Amino acid sequence: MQSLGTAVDGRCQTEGRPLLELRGISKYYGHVRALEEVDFELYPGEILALVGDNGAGKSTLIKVISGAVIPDWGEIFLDGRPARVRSPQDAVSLGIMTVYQHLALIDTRDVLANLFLGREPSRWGMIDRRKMQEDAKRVLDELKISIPSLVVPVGILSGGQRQAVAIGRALLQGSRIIILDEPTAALGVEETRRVLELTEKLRTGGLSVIMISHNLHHVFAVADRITVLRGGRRVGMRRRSETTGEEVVRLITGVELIDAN
Amino acid sequence: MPEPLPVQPIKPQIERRQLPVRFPRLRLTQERGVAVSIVVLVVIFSYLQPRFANLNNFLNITRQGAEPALLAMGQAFAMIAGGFDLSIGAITGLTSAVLAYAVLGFGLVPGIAIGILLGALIGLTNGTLIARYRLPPFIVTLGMLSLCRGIAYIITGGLPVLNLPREFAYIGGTGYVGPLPLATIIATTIFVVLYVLLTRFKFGYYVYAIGGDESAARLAGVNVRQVRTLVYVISGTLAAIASVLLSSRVNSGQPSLGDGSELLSVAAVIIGGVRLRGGQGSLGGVMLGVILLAVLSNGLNLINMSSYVQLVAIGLIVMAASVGSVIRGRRQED
Repeated sequence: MQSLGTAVDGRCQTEGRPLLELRGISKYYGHVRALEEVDFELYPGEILALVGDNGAGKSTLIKVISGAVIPDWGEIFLDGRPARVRSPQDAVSLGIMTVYQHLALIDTRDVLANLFLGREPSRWGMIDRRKMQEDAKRVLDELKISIPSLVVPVGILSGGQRQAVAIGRALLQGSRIIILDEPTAALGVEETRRVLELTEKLRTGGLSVIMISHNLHHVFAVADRITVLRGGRRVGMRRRSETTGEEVVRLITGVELIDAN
Repeated sequence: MPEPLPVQPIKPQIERRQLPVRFPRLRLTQERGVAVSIVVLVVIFSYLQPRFANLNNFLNITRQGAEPALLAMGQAFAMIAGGFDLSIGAITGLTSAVLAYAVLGFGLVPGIAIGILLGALIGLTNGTLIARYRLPPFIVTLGMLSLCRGIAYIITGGLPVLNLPREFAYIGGTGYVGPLPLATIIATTIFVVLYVLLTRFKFGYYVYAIGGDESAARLAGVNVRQVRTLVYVISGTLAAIASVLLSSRVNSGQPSLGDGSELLSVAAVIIGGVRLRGGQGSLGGVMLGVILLAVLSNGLNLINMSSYVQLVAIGLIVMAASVGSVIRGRRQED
């Protein structure tokens, strides 16, 4: 792509039109630069890993995409058309769903209420509970997610089960783009494996996934492409098949610049 | 082949648990506890005072419980949404005074309409200050309590507003449909409507959602500000309807009406098992809480216990209920 930022080399070519495209996104908090001139593309049916050190701008970028933060400059395109993403509601209605690090589930509510939160099937405001149950069962079976019951409070579920509920919610709400914020943080080995499997199933189902992770093993296990942020700028973008863990670490830490000199 | 054996009985069990069982088991326990307490109280009072155990007295209890029920339902909305409404008692007083003047000036129906509208507007003010300007509900509604009570005394000079038409007394006092007091029917109807609203409508789901985790609700696209504002409109409106019934029962406008009733409503809500920090609880439980307090008050009156004893009894029950609520909360967080 020619529109890549200056700091990015063009080694990562991808065919077709991006599903989601960000151009020249900048965000400042006072004098603190959170994002500067960041370009970003997400293609249909891919898992894109977003990596970077703490404070690199990953969270801010995700918040821009999910409508939680409004950028100071820059444009967002969905399907090639300019998109207005100025609130989480906007993002959800455009089919962009974020599964946040703290999961954003309501512990006191049951699985069913959480799966449909914000998008309950309803007529005249009255909730169609039967449709909720049928849809929930269908999606959970499809993803082979096993949850003891749809009517227990989410607060009593395990970390992996909660992650599954959060992902199930994204699917049920008809999302096309699912953003996973540290999906494997604080999970055990077995649960991590299941969540990664789940991520791959999402791609198989034709969805696009943006995955933030600190764990490069997990990134290399599932991602198709890897985008690296550092100091609020995009400093690299690689296909998984064409890069190595060492190269990604160099991009994250910026040591390569010293090497180049 | 011992392996497949345990699998088969487990599967249908999971299927069964996925049926629409409405409430988690823990909460049912609290509601059952209150229900059992009511039965025990009824048995004890019936034993101590034969006059307690007759149909007329039971109907009387439902009529006496009508206004506390309306106030407690409003309080329940506020508390499930993670807030508080201390102003509902004072709204009752101010509405009573204003609606009495309005009935005298504009007639019965317009007067009542003005009164209910006033309650809704005060609730809207509370809700706007809390939801839009993010002021703490405790402070806002405490201020509103003082404001409303003060205005009620100022416009009436602290005196009751008398000479209301006799038909006005019909609504909350002398009115009966068959054997049932009209006030009971009004309160029950409103209960059914609000119960459906809370358990079957998006709005109700969002009331629970913002009480359970406001930021999670916001991220999911819930219009937190709107829902929170509406919650206080509901509690204000219910306080005004309670005021119509109470004013009707005394057939006058009373600026001191509902003094202290806001705390009684909190008591009923806590006894009813609403989670102290919001997000959980049922209107059914709250109604049981109201009934428990109504039975207690009626029974203690009939066995000639002073109202001081009633205060002590209510205090002890609230403490016991909140201990139960906290223990359940801890258990659930484990």
